[in-house]
Amino acid sequence: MAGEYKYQESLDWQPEDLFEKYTFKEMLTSSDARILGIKGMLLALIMLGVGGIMALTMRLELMEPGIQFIGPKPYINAVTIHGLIMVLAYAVPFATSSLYFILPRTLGIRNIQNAWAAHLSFVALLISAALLFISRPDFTWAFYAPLSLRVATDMIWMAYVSIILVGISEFLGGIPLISTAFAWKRESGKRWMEMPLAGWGALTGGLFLTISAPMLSIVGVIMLTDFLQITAIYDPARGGDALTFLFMSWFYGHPAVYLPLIPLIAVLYHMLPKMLGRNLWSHTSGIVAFTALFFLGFGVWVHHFQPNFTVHSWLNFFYQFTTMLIIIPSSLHVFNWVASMWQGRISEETRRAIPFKFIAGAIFMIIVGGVNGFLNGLISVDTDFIHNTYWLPAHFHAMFLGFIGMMSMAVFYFLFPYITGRMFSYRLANLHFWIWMPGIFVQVMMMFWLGMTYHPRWVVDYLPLPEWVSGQFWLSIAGFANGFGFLIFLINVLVSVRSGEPVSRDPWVMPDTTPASKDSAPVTNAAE
Amino acid sequence: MIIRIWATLMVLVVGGVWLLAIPFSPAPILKTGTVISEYRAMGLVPDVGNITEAEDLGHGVFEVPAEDAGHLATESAKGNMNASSMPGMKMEGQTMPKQTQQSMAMPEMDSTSGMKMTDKSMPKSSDMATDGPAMSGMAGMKMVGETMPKPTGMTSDATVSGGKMDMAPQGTANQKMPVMMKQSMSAGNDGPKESSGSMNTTDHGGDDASDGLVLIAQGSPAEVDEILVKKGIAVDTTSVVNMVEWGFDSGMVMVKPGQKVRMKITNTGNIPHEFMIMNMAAMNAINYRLTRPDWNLLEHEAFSEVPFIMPGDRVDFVIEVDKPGMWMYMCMFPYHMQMGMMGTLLTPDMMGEMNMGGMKM
Amino acid sequence: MQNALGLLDDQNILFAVMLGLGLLGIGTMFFAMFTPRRWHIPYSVEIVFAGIIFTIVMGGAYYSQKTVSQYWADIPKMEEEASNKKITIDYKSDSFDTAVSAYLYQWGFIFINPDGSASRNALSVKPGARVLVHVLANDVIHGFQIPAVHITTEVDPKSVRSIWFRAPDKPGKYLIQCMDYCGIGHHQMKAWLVVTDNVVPKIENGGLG
Repeated sequence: MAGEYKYQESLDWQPEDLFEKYTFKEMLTSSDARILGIKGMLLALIMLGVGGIMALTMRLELMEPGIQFIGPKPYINAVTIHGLIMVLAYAVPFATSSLYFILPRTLGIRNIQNAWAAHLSFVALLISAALLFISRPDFTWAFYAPLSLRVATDMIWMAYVSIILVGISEFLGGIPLISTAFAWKRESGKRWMEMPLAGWGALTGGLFLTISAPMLSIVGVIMLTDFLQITAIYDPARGGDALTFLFMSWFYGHPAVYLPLIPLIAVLYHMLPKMLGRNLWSHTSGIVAFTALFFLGFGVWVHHFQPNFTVHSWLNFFYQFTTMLIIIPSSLHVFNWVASMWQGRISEETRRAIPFKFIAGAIFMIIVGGVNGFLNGLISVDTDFIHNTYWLPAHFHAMFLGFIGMMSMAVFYFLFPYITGRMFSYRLANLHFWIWMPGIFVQVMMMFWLGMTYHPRWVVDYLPLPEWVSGQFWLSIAGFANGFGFLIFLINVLVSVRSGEPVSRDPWVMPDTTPASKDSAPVTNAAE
Repeated sequence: MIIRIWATLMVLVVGGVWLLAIPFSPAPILKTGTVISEYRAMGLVPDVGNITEAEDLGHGVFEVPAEDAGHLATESAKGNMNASSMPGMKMEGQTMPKQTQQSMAMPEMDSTSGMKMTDKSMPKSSDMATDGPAMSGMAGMKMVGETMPKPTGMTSDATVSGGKMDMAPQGTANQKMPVMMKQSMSAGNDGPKESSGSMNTTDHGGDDASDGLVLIAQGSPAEVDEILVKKGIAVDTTSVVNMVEWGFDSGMVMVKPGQKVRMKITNTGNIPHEFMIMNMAAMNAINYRLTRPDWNLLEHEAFSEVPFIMPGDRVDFVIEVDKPGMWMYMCMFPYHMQMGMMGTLLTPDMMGEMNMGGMKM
Repeated sequence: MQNALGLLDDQNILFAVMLGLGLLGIGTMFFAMFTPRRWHIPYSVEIVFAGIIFTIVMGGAYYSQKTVSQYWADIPKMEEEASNKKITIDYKSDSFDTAVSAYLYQWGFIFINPDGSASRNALSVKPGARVLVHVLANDVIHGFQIPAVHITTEVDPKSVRSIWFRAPDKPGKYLIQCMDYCGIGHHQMKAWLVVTDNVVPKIENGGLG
């Protein structure tokens, strides 16, 4: 297979200490893809901390029935900031930034194109986050109108501006991804089908960003004008229609879940082969999956408000149909990864490697979240125990905390030696993994349990039914464990940057154990 | 070095945002708007003046927790009053369903979901401080980060059948509640239920007296007119009390002892409200469960109550004040009272107990 | 909804399918990680796999469509007369024992019977009755869920969401709760579905007022 792209060699860097090489100011202004990536990832991790502390606050209050620590108003502040920050300020920026990092090397071009857009995107995100924090919003991360037009202080207009800015930030963030993919086409002269999957992830992910983000900004603008009483588009009491809001906001809201997913899937396609020491199972399958997900991803959004949109006719069933179809591309991604694992024996070295553990954990959780999506999309089951019970947070925490959380840790641990020249503490990272894996699993399972027993969302307090009490209790325990795991991660980073073991060679080179492969290195460990 | 800057930033940002959002969370405000006129046009909601309370249910559906009695005894003892019986117990002429009524006693869920609910197992909310003479209605909100909201008038342009909304002026008396419980305060809480009137429960016929307040008539304006004519009673004063979000535009209704007052309660707001008159002891007694999730599922009775008034509707009360005293009228829908829907019905000599224009909290 | 049509058992099949798929995926991954067996999977297997997933999800969609169509068929249609934008409700009183407007507001429920009588936070029905509920929202988007009869809906102001259910046979009180964040009192927005043999007002000639 001459000329076949070698995924297992696509992320070969030499370790160096970028933090010594660049000053703080240079880090902020450099247009080098790696620096852009690091900048974005570090900001995103701070936002992960903000979202996390909100989660811990919520978990503390919900651990027992009754109101012990915070009342409904601060609670819903925590809920809102947790949701908005985790999705818009942590997940999307981290994923986009990690794709920036790997894109030039995987595509074989010099640097990322249109880096100015990435810089502007970063600044817009900073301002957006600051405005959001000051405005102290209390309308949940879905900010349904007309409630979102009527609550919080008179400074809530800052939250609407924040929404406008984050849409602009995301739009700008997609531009480098698209133009870099086109630069590959231009410079290599190859066919589109030969573009590495990182490029396909960049193309589809970038298009998702640039097409859906403007809708978010438009929604923010209308909320602002409605709030200022200039228009009455979303406010039914003044002649508007809340359904308009639902249609518009979820048009962005569904692609919003793919914005973090696609770049991280693209990175996974390159990291997994390297960690396995052999090539990906199928390049073409990945392209089919990315493309199908892209086209379907714009056609399912009504399922988010299925029980509210009852035309009682073919339109509902159309969206149910497309929602069912969209399960297929995601399954293809997972099939590709698992098939890649089956190609050859997984060596001890691979199994021990921290990035591989987190990748395996991420794939595990995306399977959990994905199969449950099958039930969510069916109207008959959705209107029973799924819609707006804890079952929904179970689904998206399996995806966001399970896949995106684990995958971002995999990426960060993977890149750590390449950007610091040192290795992190294996023991601490292992502890991190072994806290997060059961912790996230238990958390998600408890949410499923609460969902099955009809526990509502967005409540600061709940009736002390035995199922709910025990479910919330263990959910909180798992949440605290996950928080502790994040703390371990931070300590690991801080300690290892200064005193981690220096590495001079690429630490993530794995033996190729594919049977009958021309490139296979001798198997170093005895067969199990 | 850069990582250390990053770590410092992390601590500062995370801590700062948490402080802003949680301990220093601003007081809840809520503007409201309604579309009730649309539903009235569709025929799904009765027009103004045409809605009545369904009689079949009685109030037996909603149980009163046994814990209430203890709280009521405590609160009444503080005011050195005759601790009357539990709300809802001393009803004359009303078929008050007993708590053992088999269809209501033990709520259950469908066997497939397997949930059982027992009212008795409700935990005490630990932040409901009802000690001391503090205004417990307000103390119920002393949670972390919450400060007392001022009543905000309606700032949205919503229309109700009838026209634009009134803005509740800032700093009305309804926001400042009398704190003292003086000896002359009436602990005559809810004696018997109101008689007649289509906007309320079963009909008893006849006046029933509690300590200091006598309910003469209650219902729609036409019904009240009829009753007054039938009984040959003339009122001494009238008081117009409009419900807005969030408060009553008359925060204080003053009646001389021995006089009869006709209170015209109109819901000029955007959402349904209830109207109840209680004395301080009874109001404080149920404070402990005021923000519990089972609030709507349990009974909260009063001397005099209208369970709901739709936007645009009006209910009149004719009350005779026998003795000097101070009572509260409020809407006890979840968080309505905390957002400012409370007023005082009092006799002139009680004014001296209140601070100039404001209350000691 | 399921219970209304007596089809709750079919949900178990969907659950089993979901669990089966999940275990299959996770199981194959664990096998790959921890056993020495290798398999270079031919590309045709993926096509078959995609075909199987397609069949399963389409089967689910077909099942859901069948259930939901059957459910919706019983809800009276609401015709909007374009001329004066007045919507008339066809109660179809022979299909249902009771028709009620559920008026949702911040933060409670008022259930309005066709004769204009209303109850706060209590919907009273007879055991086994077929109940039609027109869910209305006064101010913001609210949710309406009755766990005991397996129905959830969401309603925005100015919309009418018509749902129906078959009341449980066993008398008692069943929980109704709001499922959309509607403000600070959302967690208290609950009501009772009261199943009792006591008299419930009947529909007279359809319509209100």
